[in-house]
Amino acid sequence: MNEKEKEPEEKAAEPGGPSWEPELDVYPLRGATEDPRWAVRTVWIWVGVAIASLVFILTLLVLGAIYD
Amino acid sequence: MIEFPVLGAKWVIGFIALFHTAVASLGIGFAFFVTVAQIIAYRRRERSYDLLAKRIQLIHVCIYNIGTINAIGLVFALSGLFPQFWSQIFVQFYWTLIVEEFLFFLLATTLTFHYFFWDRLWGHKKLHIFLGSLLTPLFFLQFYIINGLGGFMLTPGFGEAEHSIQIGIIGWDKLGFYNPSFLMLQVHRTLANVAYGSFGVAAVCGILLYLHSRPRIRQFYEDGGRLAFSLGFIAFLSLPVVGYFYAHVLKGHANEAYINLMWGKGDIVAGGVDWWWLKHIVVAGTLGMCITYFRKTSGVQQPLQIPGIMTYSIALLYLLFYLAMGMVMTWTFFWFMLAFGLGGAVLSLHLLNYHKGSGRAVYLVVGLASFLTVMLGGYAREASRPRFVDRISHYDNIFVPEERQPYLMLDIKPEDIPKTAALPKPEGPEELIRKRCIGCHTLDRVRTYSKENWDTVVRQMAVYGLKLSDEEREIIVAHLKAGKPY
Repeated sequence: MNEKEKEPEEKAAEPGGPSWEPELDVYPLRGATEDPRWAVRTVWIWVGVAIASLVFILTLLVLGAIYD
Repeated sequence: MIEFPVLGAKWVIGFIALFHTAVASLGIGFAFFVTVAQIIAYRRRERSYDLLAKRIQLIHVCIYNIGTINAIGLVFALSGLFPQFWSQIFVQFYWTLIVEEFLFFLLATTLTFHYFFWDRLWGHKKLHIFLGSLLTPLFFLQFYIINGLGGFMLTPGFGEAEHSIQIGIIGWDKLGFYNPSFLMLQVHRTLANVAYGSFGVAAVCGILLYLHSRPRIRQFYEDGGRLAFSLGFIAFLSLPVVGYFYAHVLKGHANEAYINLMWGKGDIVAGGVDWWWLKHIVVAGTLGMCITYFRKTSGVQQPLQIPGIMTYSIALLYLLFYLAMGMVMTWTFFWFMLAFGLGGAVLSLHLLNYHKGSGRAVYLVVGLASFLTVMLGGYAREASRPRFVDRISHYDNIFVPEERQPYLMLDIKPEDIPKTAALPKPEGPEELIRKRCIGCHTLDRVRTYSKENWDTVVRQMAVYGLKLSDEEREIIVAHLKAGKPY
């Protein structure tokens, strides 16, 4: 993982608590440029594929409801 | 036909299908909850709901894999144990099932990406939430597809589907898919599974509340559990009413199933227990528990909170509903539902007081009740209907298209291919119309043409590829012009 792909920083857990307890403190929004580009691109491509597939399937269902 | 040792083919399918229902039905509820929790967390900039959503999505990834593999197992089991049934359904709804398979692929990938990219997209949070929100319509569509087939098995319509089977539909049977109970099944199952998934999330929070002692972690699960519980109850609320209309459809279109359900006949009663009655008792108990819970916690400020006054309205609505059901069915039904509703209310009150206002036990009990409801509902639906194989009188005369002849599966030379047996020549105008016209379309379409146009229409059909001798054409046209039945 390179420098740009760093996950949001995690605080050390308090003794006795679960490791993820410190994560409750922050809602770690960050600048768009801080996200790894490959991840953003992959998700955009997949969102496009999924929406196109949804439209295609809906079209099939509409046509199927009209024609035998 | 292959027989399964010890359990028998019927129960093997029953158990696999019930396991699939238990696991896969959580999917749409989990997906919807995750999106709602993520939106609330984003709007409030509050991490706890988002963190819970992430943990639930991880469970969802695991469950989705199990459910999908189990579904494939069901297909394998049906192919071997009930080959005739499965080949019939598969040929009739081939393209429908291909779309279903494509939806499996879309769902599995979207779900995996949504979980995998959770911590890599904090700079594109809306995009990430949107990616997750795609799961709900995808699940809805998957339901849409499979409910067409499920509804067809319960209410085939059109003279017990003889119409569809006789004409040998390949791949897409519109009349079979949009069968009489399709809409009710779709609405009922979608709401039921959103309720089941959300109550399931609340139950997970309930269990974890028992396991953690740190106040902050407890608060995390308490808040998350309450949100999931509210969402589950909102979906659950309308179920008995939708169920009433569903039963109304069955009364007209699947009368035997309706009688079996209402009067406790056939496989509905197994081991001396009327499982449909048991389901209703569990539903009434759940209603009582939920209404009491929301009345007691109406002062808590949190998203999707149900105001106190609304809980009284809901209680009154359901009292009237069960009163009406008592009048329609039997008063025993009304009294049983009232008793179990009140029992649920008392139990909920006790559990809330015992845990000093914490909903942990209520979440857990309602989660279990919801699981039972889904299991019993699934069982009752399938057990109530007459067996599909028995009800279709032309089941043994399945249309076998030429391209699926057995020689395609054998390693033989083309010259060794046996000649296809000649199909019996149709006799009489009715049979001619049925056999020839359905080569391209259903008989339903024949009814859309007017009598005076039949000469032209049949010629047009010949241009499209209809093969008729002059004599046959004259017979068909004369019959259709005379407006006689076919």
